[in-house]
Amino acid sequence: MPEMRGAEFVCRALEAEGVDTIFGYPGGAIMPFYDAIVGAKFKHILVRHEQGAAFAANGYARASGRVGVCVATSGPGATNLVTGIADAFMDSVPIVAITGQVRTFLIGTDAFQEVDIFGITLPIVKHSFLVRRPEDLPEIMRDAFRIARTGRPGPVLVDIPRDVQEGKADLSLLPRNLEEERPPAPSKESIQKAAKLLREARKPILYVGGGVGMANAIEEFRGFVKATQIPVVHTLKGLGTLPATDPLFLGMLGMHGFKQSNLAVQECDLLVCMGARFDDRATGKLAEFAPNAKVIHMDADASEVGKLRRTEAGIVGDIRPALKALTEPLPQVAEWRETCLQYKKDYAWNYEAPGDGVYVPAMLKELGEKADDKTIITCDVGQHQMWVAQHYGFRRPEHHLTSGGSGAMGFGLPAAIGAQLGRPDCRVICVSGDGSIMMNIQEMATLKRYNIPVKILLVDNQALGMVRQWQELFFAKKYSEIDLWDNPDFVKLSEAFGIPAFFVRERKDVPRAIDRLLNERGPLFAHVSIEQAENVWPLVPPAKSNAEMMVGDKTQK
Amino acid sequence: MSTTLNVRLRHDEGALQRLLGQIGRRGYDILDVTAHLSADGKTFDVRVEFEPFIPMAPGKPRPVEVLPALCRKLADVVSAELAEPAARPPAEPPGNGSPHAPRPPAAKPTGDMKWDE
Ligand SMILES: Cc1ncc(C[n+]2csc(CCOP(=O)(O)OP(=O)(O)O)c2C)c(N)n1
Ligand SMILES: [Mg+2]
Repeated sequence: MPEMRGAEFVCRALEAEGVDTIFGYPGGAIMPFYDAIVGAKFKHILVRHEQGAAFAANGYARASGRVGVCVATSGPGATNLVTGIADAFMDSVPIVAITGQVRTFLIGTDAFQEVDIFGITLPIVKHSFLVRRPEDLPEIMRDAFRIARTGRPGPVLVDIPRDVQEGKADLSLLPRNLEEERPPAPSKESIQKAAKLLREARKPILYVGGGVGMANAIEEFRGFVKATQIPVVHTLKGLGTLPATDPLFLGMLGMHGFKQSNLAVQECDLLVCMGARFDDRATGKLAEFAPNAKVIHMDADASEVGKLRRTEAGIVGDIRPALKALTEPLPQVAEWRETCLQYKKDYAWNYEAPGDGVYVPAMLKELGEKADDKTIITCDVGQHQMWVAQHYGFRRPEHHLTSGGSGAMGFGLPAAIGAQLGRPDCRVICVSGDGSIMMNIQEMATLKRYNIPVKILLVDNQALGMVRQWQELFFAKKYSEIDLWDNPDFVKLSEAFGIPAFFVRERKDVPRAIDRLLNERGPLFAHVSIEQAENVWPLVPPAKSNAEMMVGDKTQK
Repeated sequence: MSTTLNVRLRHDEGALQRLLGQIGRRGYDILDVTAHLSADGKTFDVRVEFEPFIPMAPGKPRPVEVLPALCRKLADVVSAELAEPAARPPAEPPGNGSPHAPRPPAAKPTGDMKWDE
């Protein structure tokens, strides 16, 4: 390749990685890069806040299966990415965050807009680079993408001083080392151990997280379930790995899991954990989680095995050959399966709620039933997020984009933008709350600018509902700073951004609202008003065992 | 009781901070560190003396066995192993003699872990 500037090379490297869209916001230290992207083969989406860029890259990556890219300038631009980088770290999402940095000789002098973004993000990146010379860019760009997407994926930061972007050198793209990108095969002994445990088990349960989908192991997983007929519970991020319509799917487990899922896990004698990590929201009080179970733990990340729970068989590496090797009928689990299916019947959700107001679980169930298999739901954080997880009925994990590990309000709208651009063939609906939507409301301008056909379904309870629920239940109804009585008029707000909107309060209007959300071509905003007092059930109180579920009035039988 | 961790690191930007940060953040207290840069300047050999600091639950210390795997997942870590208790050298002042206990042969990770309960 001819001599070129560092910034130009970064563009060529992004193109070589097949990146078609990046999300960012310009500023002083990243100006050479912004100069170089004019005429590049990829599209740049100008967000209205760098946090939006990081979340959009996240949504793009999760929906498309490719690496997401976000860009910001130094100092405040870079620090605005931090929440999104942390989110990608917690949820193992492959993104590359490119930040401008002050000129090399100014580093460490408290120069204008200098922050040590490398140091700030050390605990929340899979890896990071501070590029010292243009000559280092070929290796760094190749490695950044490789590290982001291989093994357990995660965010990689590439901090590029302005003079490195401007500096010229002979820069050539380096070939990808596909051998390095292949996940290692799990050991034979670990598979044999697991096979023995499976044959000995009488009451096994599959506890399945987001890792199975990330490992592209869905078909192998579904084949395994079909052959073994073991009942399945999912974590928040695992939802959709087994379609919710499958009889063996019991539901989500954990704090807001269904009763049948938590009971089955508590009673099982073998817990097969696949691509999950014994997160406290899933396990409740860890010491009392699945107390009688031996554990098989399959994960791409060796450090997850044995991190929180003793494991009888740990299968580390590529889950696909392991699942294939373990796929055999297990006739001895028939009785247990019937018990679980009976639990599922006994605790089936009651969607008949009194009154004329919108009952969100029923609305989301209807949305899930009417939506086709090319519908992606992104969520914000709070009660509405849990209702989506419980009631939508996901058929694929990449159809459910939620901030699981970090629980970041403000995720939903920018993630929807990223998802829509990563999967233009899909319909993308962002289910948000009246608190969360305001955290990145500025991205409505991004929807409008690029006419991105994202639909927003705002569940407005005039409250920080999840916090209100906890204050009601665990702080003696002492309500503190949760009332959003003075929300803006969301319909007018949406229209001010140039996006059509409508209001729904009555249950009878829900079917028409859903039809509009599913059929309108451009962006659309549905403002759904509900009772403030609604709670999410069931609920395992914090630090309690999953056996101690509180159930509400009109919910699970 | 303290444990010794031997780590070989690539001499990359921030590699030492990343390693020590990982150990501290995961709830282990660092008691002693020595780090030596190889003659070619490409790798560091780091010896870390540590003990579990933040318990998993009251009375339940963090298992030390998971720490090497937590370190190995850092992109600039070449190898990370706990020193065999018997082979652990006495604490030495920095710069005095070889800081490294003989490295146990690198075992293929099976994912099986011992667990302190
Ligand atoms: C950035 C951020 N700040 C604070 C919180 C704590 N938090 C969790 S849920 C919640 C309430 C969310 O309100 P809303 O978006 O209206 O959702 P609702 O629970 O009412 O459905 C808050 C404040 C958070 N998760 N993320
Ligand atoms: Mg709300």
